[in-house]
Amino acid sequence: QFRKSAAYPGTLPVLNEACIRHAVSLALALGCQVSPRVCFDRKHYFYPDLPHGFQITQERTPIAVNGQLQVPGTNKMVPITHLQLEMDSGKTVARDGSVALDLNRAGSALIEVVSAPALASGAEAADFVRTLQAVARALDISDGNMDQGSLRADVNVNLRVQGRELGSMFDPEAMITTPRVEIKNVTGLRFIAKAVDSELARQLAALRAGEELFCETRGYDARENATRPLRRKETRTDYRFTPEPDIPTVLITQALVDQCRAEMPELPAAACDRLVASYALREDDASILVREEGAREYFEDACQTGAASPALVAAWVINELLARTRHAGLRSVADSPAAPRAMADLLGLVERGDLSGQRAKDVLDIMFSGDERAPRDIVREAG
Amino acid sequence: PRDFQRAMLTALRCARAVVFVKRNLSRVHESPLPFMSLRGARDGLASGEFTAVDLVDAALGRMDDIRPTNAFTQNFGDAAEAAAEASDARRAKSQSLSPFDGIPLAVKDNFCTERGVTTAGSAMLQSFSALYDATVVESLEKQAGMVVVGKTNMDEFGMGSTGNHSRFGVIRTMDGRSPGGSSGGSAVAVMEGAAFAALGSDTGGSVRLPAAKCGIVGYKPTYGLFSRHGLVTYASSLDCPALLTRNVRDIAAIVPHLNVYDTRDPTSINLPSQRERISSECRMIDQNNDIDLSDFRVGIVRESIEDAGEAATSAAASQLAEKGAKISLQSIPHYGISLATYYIIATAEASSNLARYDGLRYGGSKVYEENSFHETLSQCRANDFGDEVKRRILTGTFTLSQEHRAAFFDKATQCRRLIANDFQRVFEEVDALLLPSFAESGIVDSDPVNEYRTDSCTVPASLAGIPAVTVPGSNGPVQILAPLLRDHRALQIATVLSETR
Repeated sequence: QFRKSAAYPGTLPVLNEACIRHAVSLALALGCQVSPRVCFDRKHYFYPDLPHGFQITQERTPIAVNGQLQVPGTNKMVPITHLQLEMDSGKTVARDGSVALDLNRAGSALIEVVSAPALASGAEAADFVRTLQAVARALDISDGNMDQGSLRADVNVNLRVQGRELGSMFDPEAMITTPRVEIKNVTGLRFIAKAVDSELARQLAALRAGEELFCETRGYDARENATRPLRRKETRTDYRFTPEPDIPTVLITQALVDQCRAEMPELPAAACDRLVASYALREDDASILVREEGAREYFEDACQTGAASPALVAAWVINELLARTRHAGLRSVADSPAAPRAMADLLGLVERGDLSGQRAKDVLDIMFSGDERAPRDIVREAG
Repeated sequence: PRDFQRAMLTALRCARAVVFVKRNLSRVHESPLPFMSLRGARDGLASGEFTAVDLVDAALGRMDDIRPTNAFTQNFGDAAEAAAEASDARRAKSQSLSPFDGIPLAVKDNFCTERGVTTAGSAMLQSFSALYDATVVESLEKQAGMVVVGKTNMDEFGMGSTGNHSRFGVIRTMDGRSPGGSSGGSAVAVMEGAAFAALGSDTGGSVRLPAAKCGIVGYKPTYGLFSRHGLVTYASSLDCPALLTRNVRDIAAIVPHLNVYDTRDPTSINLPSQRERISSECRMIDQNNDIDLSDFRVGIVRESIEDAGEAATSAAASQLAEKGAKISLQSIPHYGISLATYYIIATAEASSNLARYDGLRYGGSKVYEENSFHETLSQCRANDFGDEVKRRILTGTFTLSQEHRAAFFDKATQCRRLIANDFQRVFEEVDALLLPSFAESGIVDSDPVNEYRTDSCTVPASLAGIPAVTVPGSNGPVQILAPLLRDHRALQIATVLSETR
């Protein structure tokens, strides 16, 4: 494996079937058409984190095209232009004034989801990525963790604005469009929102001040809350795209597509609708339960005991459990020390009026500190 | 020129016999052992006539004798001796890994080996320890027990037809001639008895040409038949691990050991019944069967004899006709553009496959530490690549560039399809084709393009991916082509030709 990551002489790229299945599943979840024949291409450039001197990607035949993803909240339908499979590069790490090279992830497969320009603000962009993240997690093709690089976003931003918004020097009727800027490697959902908003502000300010704007690649600096130039994109790099000769054309049969479709788990949007219908929840609450890792299963398990009403369980999972889980440094609600059954029992006490809400929160804290007694016992023994 | 060639070859054969006899007189312990066929060695081991140590000693002795040729980059002397002893021990306990257990093998230095370095004839890899064996090496050494006596010298990265382009010294035959390339070292090793067989690589003729020039047998299999895992890539869609031996039936004997589907090579052919057919036909050739050519239809490629002369193919055709084959003249209409097509595709793929050589992770003639990555890259590639390699990388970069790709690379891939179609059509009329093995172009060594012209007879088969064998003919070396996955047919015809001279 190391030899292939480091592009050792004599090693050849091997496509694994799992990548294809994952990509097909994601394509179906996003309503795309899956291509029956896909090929790969080499995209050439020299960079230390690209051991082969080229990246294997899909320039001619993306694995799927023409889908869409509905973002809950705004209910915006964002068009998905295409999905492509590609090979990951390594990572350069700045260290004591020099640059270290981490090749561990080089050569692993990536699925790139390309959306059409349809998002109007940082918040919308973050919501879109969050929705996509939930889909990827539901399909179990990625843990979707942005801080670990399992999910990465390159955000393309530009502005289209009427002259009247810019100042008296501008023709009020004119539509001014700024050159596209790519913000690379934004490593968190909050950062996506902030990066987009700060870049939009920068472009607007530059326009108003009559400064020149360029097509370029920028990085987001979280401490300064601003984007910084990485490299100019005025001249388009010639990547000398070549058909990848080592990987034969892949035929994606209808049988494979049907199988992926049949094996698809419940997607977040469908889960949300089902929670609203079955448990009479508000859409906002259903969304949160669906998108927070483990929350939906926890909620449904707790409701199943019948010990407390769904509305109360939902309210407590969202308002009390999630915060405590995060505070305890746990990844998922499923890892919380308070099991769904215990939680339901506790809430049953509250609902019958045997316990006040405030006392119940105290009991929950006790449970979170590792106390394994049943809530009833904790209440009784604490008086 | 063709008469001259014939005269030269005859003179060479006499010269070699003379040299051999002279040595025989001066070194009493000299034996005919190292010039025996692979199958003869196998039989002798089995009957106890000699041991693996005898064979390896003889081969190592020859390696020593032929030092002036620069045929080898590395001599695995001690390890080879130890392996020979281990082989004899296994044989004594009836635990031989295969009938070839203990027989000396030479490996071209672009196949990764755990032992030693894998230089591919380049300064760029002069200190590269692969630490793993290429699949074909593993098959012959670890699985069949053959003893690798050394790695052979070659034109850098497989680029060259003369043996002039190695960073580790010009390769020559013992009589000072160019052995051809790029597997020049392997050809000299087999010709001179330093090994009973050699692994080479054939991209546009790199095994067939040196085999023809050195008067031995060269075989390029169907593309994808032998695994490329562990072969330092030159041109991905053209490279084939290939074999050189002194005798055609020797090739057939080895083929079943290498004819294996390999998941580590995504272009490895996954058609078990086709593979099995090739292996079983080869086993029959190995078992000395009489080959019946009475239903064989053999075509001579018209355009190839117009290009390279008809002496060799005419002689071969007569021999085959006497054995009952039906000879006809056939046409490969796009033969004439195959040289240009090959060089555009090969150099383009080379520019891509050699992009990884930046001096950072392995190999290199020294450590380059400039101020920036791009400066390091430039220095390393400027120093550690030879002129011919640089020429081909630049050519490939040009033909893949945005402005020129449509006119050159894309066109060339379309032409390749036309050439492949020509062969497919012709193989509906005939079972095999005869061509000369190379065009003697009166090479002036310093002209790179002239050097490319020697490949005109070998590149068509490379482009079409079809199998090809070259054998010394009664009137010069001759090349036999067969359809995809009909490798055994070419070997059958080659066997008849070599046994009826």
